[in-house]
Amino acid sequence: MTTAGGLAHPHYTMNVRLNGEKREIEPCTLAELLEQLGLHERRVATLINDEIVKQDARSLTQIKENDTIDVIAMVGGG
Amino acid sequence: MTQGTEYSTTSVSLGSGIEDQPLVVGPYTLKSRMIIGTGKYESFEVMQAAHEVSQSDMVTVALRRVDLKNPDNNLLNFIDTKQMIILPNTAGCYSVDEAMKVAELVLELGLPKLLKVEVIGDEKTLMPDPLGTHEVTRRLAAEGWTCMSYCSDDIVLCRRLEEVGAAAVMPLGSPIGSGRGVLNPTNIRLIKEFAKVPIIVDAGVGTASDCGLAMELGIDGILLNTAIAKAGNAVAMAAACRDATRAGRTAYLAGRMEKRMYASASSPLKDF
Repeated sequence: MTTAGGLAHPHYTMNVRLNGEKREIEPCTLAELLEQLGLHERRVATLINDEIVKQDARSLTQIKENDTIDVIAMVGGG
Repeated sequence: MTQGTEYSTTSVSLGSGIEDQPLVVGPYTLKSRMIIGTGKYESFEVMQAAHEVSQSDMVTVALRRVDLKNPDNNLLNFIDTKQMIILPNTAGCYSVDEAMKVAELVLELGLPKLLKVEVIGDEKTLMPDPLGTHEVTRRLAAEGWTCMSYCSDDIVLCRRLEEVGAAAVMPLGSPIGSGRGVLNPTNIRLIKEFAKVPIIVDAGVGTASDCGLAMELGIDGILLNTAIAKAGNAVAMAAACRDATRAGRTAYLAGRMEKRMYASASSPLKDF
């Protein structure tokens, strides 16, 4: 299930859980996903299956079927 | 305002020629003794205006999942990071492991090793878990973090947090967001009396006079969020709390008169 496989099957999608919600996404890296979400320029932290994926590893990290992805940022708090 | 390891040598003016020392927490030097939050405001614009009026130089933030429906709704665009130090918290954590994870995320977000340690032990009262708070503080301080540890107003617990390396100990005045003021001023005074690190009352402020009363106890600073964010006019309340914090501090430095049981005439009673 690589990006190449995705090209061979253009409608192939994967089920993932993104920030707590079920989503169907096309195969991509974590960096590509952030770009699709419009978050590539924002200061965020990322986790896949509860493990932190460091910023420089995002473009090397392929998202897999059933992955749980969390994108974390600073929000209002006291 | 510089963020770094240099201590400020300049004193802070409280007005009318009265000088004070800045509040020093680990490597951070704060000109204002009032630390404020970023939560619960009706808008980021109102928050920004309240921050500006407050003259605070440290603001708390939380770490949460990004709202994917509004990816441009970015808190950071409304915080003047040249003027204000960001104090991330571990709010919402109910265990040591969760809080340690937040510390990792703080570094991943490119922030320094500075954290408001907050481990909650009870959902309804949001009372901190003393054992969890102690353990997280101990572990992170050993790793070189500047821990500002939010805790209950227990004299011995506060001492223990200092012993394991908290850079500031932050006992609550009353439960988070309750606006009930400082419920146990005697404890807060005793905590301050024994402490070698700054004591910052965190949580419970409901209005400006609570800031003044707390500061008159001699504590080093006050941390508040809801009192400003949920005021009818947040910007005006920020100004009131700023002035009350300063007034309370000035009154403490001035030294109050002793309380008496009976009257003592202010005007001479003889020589009419």
